[in-house]
Amino acid sequence: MNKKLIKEHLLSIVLVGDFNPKIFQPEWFYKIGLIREDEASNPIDLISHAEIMSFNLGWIKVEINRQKFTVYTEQSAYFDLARDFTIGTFKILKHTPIKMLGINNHIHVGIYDKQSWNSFADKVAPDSLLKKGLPKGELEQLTIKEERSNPKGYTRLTVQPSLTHFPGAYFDINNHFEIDQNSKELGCKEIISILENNWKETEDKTLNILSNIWDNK
Amino acid sequence: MIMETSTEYLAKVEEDTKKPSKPLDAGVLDMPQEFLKKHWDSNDYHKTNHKLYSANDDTDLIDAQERKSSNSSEKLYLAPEVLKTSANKSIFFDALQKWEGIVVSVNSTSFVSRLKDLTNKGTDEEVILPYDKIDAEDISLIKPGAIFYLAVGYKIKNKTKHKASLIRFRRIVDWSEDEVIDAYLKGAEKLRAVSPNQSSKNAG
Repeated sequence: MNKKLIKEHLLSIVLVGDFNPKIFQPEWFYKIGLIREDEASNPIDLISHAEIMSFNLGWIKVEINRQKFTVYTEQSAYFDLARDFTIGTFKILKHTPIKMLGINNHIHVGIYDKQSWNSFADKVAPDSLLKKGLPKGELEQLTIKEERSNPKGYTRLTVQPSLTHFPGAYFDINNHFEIDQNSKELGCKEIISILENNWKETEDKTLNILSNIWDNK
Repeated sequence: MIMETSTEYLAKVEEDTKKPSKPLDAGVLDMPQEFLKKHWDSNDYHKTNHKLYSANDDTDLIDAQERKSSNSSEKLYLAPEVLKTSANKSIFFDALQKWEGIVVSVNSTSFVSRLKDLTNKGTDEEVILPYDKIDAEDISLIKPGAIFYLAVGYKIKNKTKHKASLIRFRRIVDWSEDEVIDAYLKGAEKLRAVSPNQSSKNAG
């Protein structure tokens, strides 16, 4: 797939567990060496509260509430750095109880003309299957989920018409991982090692899903 | 900061647009030319559009100095040097190709690094990068074994595209004692699997 067709690509790394938002101050990230001094002293849109901490460093946006730690970036040059930032944080806070991880990609692909969109929509939701029951039906959302046992979790693909790039397609590829319910792990070592060990594979899988759907349209 | 008057500014813009396109724009890292030529399609280069903002622009401006055009009474505002929020917010880097680099050796003015292509899975390449092209806050991170990310693409600021490259060093916390022990045990286990006799001689 020609990468120039990708109009927007937002990556989010989401950890689900128990967090204390107040401790995740930009200054703290600087003190442990994960961000630069000028970034810590001049964060954008800082919200600091007992229930939520949120700030934007330009290259990543960080948001923490009691249940979720999320790092976002829409600049592909920083995807690996967003992963390093997350890993670095929880190598320090290794006793934080974290049970689930999501590596999520939200991708808008530009199609440019209605005909190409129709051909794409016909490929993912063929007219031959739909026309009899819903003769005027149009693709609104298609979701496919693939379960995985090692590491436990799933990959879920959602395809929709893009709302921001018309005509265009929106792909939401959610790579979900969780630690075994019987695991004796109390902190986050296991989930962080899943993030470290499955990053490349997940990235390749995401691009493969996109290319396979796109190039076969 | 003292800014030029509108007419001077417009004259400068006019002059700039007549200049032939350069392969690299201001602020762009001086990567070795042969390296850049290999990875950059020259047709992708977009010329910078200098822009004059009017008072009606909804751009987030502060400190924009009001200047009167010498030829008319129309008020014009020059694009500010300083944005209200951090400049980072308005800069977007659109990467065309990415590499992961590892510092191989360092000397007084530059360092040698090995680059692994993350986009096209090509072969590794070695490049020499001068210190003065690295952000000041990353200089202390340059040492053998340090990992950095290099990307070439476009820097988009105020809807204007410049060809640019970006280098940022990995900032990851040092290994903990537990991790060192874990790594040692894993290494010992692998050694045992490959050469049982050798590892038993070394044990203890």
